Amino acid sequence: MDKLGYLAEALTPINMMLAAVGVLAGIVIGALPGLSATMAVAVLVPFTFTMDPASGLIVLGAIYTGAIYGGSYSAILVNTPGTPSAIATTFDGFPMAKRGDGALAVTLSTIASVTGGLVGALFLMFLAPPLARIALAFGPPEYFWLAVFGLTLISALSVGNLMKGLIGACFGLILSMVGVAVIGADVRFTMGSHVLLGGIDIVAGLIGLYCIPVLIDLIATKDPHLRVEGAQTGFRLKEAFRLVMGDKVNLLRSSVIGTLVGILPGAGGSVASLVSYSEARRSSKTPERFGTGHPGGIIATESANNATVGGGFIPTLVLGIPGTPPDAVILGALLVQGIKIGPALFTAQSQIVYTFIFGLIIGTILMLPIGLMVGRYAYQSIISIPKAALVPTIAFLTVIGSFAIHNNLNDTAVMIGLGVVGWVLNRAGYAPSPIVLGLVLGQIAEQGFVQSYLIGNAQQNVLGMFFGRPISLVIIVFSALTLFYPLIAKAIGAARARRSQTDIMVESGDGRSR
Amino acid sequence: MKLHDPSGTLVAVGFVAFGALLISSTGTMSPLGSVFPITISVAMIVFSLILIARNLFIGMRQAQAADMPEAGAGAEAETPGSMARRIAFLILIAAWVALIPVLGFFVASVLGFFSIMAVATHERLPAKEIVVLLVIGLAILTGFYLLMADVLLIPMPRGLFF
Amino acid sequence: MRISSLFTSVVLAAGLFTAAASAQDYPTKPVNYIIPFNAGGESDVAARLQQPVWEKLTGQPMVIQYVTGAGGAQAWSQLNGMEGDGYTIMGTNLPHIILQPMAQDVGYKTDDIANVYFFQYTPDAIIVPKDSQFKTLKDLVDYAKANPGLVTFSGSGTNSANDVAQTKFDKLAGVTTTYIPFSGTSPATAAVLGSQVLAGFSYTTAAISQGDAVRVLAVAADERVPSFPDVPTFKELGYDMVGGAYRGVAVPKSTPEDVRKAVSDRLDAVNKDPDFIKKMEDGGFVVINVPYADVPKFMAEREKDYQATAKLMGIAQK
Repeated sequence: MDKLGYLAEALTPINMMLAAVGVLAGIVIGALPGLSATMAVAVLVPFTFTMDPASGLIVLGAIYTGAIYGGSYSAILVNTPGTPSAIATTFDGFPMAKRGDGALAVTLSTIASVTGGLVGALFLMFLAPPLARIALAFGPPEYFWLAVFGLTLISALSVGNLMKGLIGACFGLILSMVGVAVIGADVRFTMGSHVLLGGIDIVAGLIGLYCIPVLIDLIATKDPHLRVEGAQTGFRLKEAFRLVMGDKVNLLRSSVIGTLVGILPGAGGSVASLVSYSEARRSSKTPERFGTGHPGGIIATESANNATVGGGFIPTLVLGIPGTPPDAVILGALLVQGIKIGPALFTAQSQIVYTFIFGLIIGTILMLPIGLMVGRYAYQSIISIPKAALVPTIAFLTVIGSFAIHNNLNDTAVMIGLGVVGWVLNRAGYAPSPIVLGLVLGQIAEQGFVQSYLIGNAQQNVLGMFFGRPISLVIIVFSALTLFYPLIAKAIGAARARRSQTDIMVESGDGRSR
Repeated sequence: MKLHDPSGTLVAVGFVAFGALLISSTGTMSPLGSVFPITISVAMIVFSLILIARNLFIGMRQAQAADMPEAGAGAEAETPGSMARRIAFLILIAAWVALIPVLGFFVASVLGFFSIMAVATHERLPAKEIVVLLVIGLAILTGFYLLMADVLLIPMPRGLFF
Repeated sequence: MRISSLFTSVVLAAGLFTAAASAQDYPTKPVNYIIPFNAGGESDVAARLQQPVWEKLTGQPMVIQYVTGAGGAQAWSQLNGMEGDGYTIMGTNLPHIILQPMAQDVGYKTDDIANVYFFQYTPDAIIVPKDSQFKTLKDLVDYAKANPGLVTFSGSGTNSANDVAQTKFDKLAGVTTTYIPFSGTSPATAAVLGSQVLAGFSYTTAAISQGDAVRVLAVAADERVPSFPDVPTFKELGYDMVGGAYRGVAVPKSTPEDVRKAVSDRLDAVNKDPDFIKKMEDGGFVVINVPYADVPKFMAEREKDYQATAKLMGIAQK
């Protein structure tokens, strides 16, 4: 098979080395909040022009993969997603780290990321052209419903406090509208300030809402940041593998969800990991354990967000439409190198494409040893660094990270402002996650909604636009399931209990149940 | 009558006012640009009102059944630690960012970093340890500054200093 | 180096700085080139094509950075707050910098932007998916006349070049169509490919990377574009429409005249590089040379043109 020939091409020592260096650089950049995968890729693009196209692509792919994975470190260890893709990793990762299982969480994240990355890359290799059609089948109504589906996760995130979760989500949605609107070009909610003209950046929001409250509480006491006594700092590889093997279905389902969502331009890793988290929780036998440090949560989000890497390359390479923001940068790099993107790429330039895909696979596999090593080191430094140094260091990172989003101090100011707001709200029982969910999904929801309305209005069929399209209907059904599943499960459980009770009663000679 | 979840309820009242403010500011927007903000603001107001009503209701019931144990979404237990340090941290980090354009990124960060370090130090440290912390701090600051300015080529804000 | 740059800024603050010495051998250090749009868009691709040529010609790195948001306004409103030493330059786009301040207060005025060079434009083009019922522009116009409002055009953003083109087209062809703004060229093109809309107002650049998957009905250039020899211009079809998104480079207002001139000269050299021109044309760009001296005239022409359309679009005049 000629594809294997390309494997040999990708396996040259220089490419292997480039992939390893790329993964390492990506992990470090991804682990620092604010330094995102997009930025990592954009910064390194000029260097790749000196390489031959395939090697250049391999480096970029490796950095991208590494950065998405690296985002889980800060999510687990400091409760701050290093990249937006790792938002949902905080839900279970940080509780695990807090109770002394940080090393296990990092290892789980590594295994899940590698698996997700491989699944995505395999889909890219074998099914890219047919899957690219999914990207096209997704119109504005589908994006709108996808965002709604993401928002239904609020009901799961705010157990026992649904109203506060909903209020928080509304607040997040409002935050997402600040600035100049894409549709209509209205300047909204900037309070007359040009600082807010560009809107509230998601990353600035993430750092502020998640990290500032952690710092505030960290500084107030002398207790260590993470529980250390009895914490195992080894790789805990065996234990992690056992957990992953016990959760195979979740792992594979999340990887596939990640690939599919990755294919959708404009959705991205954050949506993918939120959707698969929500699905993992819904189909779990113990949904109540999610959010309290459940390994299944990390497996779901980390496999999904790394699967978006391969998934995102599908529309990028097949249609020339970038699936994720880093893909857009890579696409630009390809154009500059004179590579024609589009339907002909897979046949006309198959050498570059397949060398690249194999490079991506190699990079992903290399992530296992590199990730375990770096992860262990990161965990140990977080627990061994004295608190007096840890707090200012994290504070410094939040300042750097929020500044580096656009090289602009406005974002840093927004970050701190939201941090204070988030902290106050949290004290009053309004958790940050619904707010972040609203902030992340708001733009997708609004644009999808208004575009659908405009198109529907032009066709004089607004209702059909929203409720008459098959993919939309499927997403609506899943949203409803997620929203009402706790109720349905309760009803089923009750029915079962009733039946067994009836059985007993029948046996005991009393025909009436209840 | 004792109010159930006073802080949560108070914030909800704030959200109602905030939502009303937002709706009043949509007047100048185009219909397309205002439909979503109005819908979401209304939803936020409605949810907040439901929360307020529920809390009032629970408060009333609790007043009747005098010493029922408070359940669920009650006011969280007083968080441990020093509130003064929390406030000091917020003031310091805000000052840090405000000073960056005046003093330059590095100098402002040195000041911010070590003053926050002082607030994060809970016991008297021996001189040796202080030196170690200062060295660690300077190493971290310099390392990251060089990474940003010279490797990633990010234009760092300059002020009086660098 | 740090001490010298520190020194520079101190001197600058004291107002003693004379740029004469530095303008001649500009650039002597890396130049930060700020792109107000997301990576992967036309502005970015064009900048990425300039980058290697700039580095080859000047021996200094060109560092591409992104300050995105508010359709570019986020970056432009900050431009004049940046250091005017020629080492911070920013991409500018027409009609954006004309229409945005006209429509509302976005933190800058058109005259605030010190453009030093315009180097390319991407002509507007109408694209339809390859299996569309519209084979020619006439098919589309006839259909639009029979079904007012039913033809949906995707495009990138409100008050953008695509928005202008659609408004202008409606007026010239005497039809009513519906414009659906998307958050960028890529999602707008995806909507055409997926038949979410009937057609798209896009650029030749977007059409090129789609190859056979889309059909271009007409191009808003003066003459046929090299990469689409078979596609008629709007002019040939009887619609007086020439335009698109023009892209240039601006500097902060505090930049001295001779430095502005130096930036313009270097960019001009890049623009005349044969390899650069070839790559740009392959990508669907039309290379134009508008050096610093010609910028005022060029801007005046464009402003007049956009103001006329802005009235049609109902953008408030200020």
